[in-house]
Amino acid sequence: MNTPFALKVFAGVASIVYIAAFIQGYTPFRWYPLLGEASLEDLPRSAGPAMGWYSWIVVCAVVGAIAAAIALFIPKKLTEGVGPTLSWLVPGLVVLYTFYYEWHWFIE
Amino acid sequence: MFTGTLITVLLILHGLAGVALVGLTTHQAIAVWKTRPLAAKNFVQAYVNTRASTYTNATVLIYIATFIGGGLIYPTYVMDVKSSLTDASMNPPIGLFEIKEHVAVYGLAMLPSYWWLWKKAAPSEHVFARQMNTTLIALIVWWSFIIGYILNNIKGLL
Repeated sequence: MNTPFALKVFAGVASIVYIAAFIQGYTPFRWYPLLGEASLEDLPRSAGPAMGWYSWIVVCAVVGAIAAAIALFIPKKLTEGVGPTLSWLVPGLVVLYTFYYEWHWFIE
Repeated sequence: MFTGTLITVLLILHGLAGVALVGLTTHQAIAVWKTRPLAAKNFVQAYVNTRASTYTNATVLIYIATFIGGGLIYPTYVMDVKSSLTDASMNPPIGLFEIKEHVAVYGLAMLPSYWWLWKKAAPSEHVFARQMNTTLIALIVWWSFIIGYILNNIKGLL
């Protein structure tokens, strides 16, 4: 089993899936703090603000875990040069993209 | 959603865990770039000369604990702080916190590979990956800590 590569795949895939889910608004469930409950449907404004953060975490954890499970079976000789870099380069680029994407808060 | 004394206690615990995390990750991130053994004749050399791998488990555990704490108090932030900032049209602090909530997740996702690089890989292997992982996590922790501190101060002023 290629455990080291799987852990690095998890870091990269989970980061990409998180930002993708956030940008695309893919929110399977939302938490409504005013009501103190989660909902699979978009509730009316009277329900108060909706939080998608928990949903994006679940989505990226599930997809990252699936990708890591697949990566376990990739032969080590194919991943020796890629794995270590993947563990920091992909999350690092996603961090930079996050700053770029959220920059509108500072210029509006 | 937590309110009253409980949210205050949780916020303080979250902040204290953040202080510990800043100390751990900063120390480790500086030590990981050490290229040769030092004599530790002064404070800076002694600071760099630490056994950096011994910080790993504590970093992982406290990061997770801090993340969970942040997740618990987040609804109160949305209802109390973010709504006040929105009413006051203070977009930059909202943006700062938006970035914090995202990068904290990336740091969490990096923890398994970070742990492996420190605890399972041989010290002479994957050195640059270990350095970059550790440094990126330290930067994420610093950003999260400072932005949380700024937001807490702003809400106190509103």
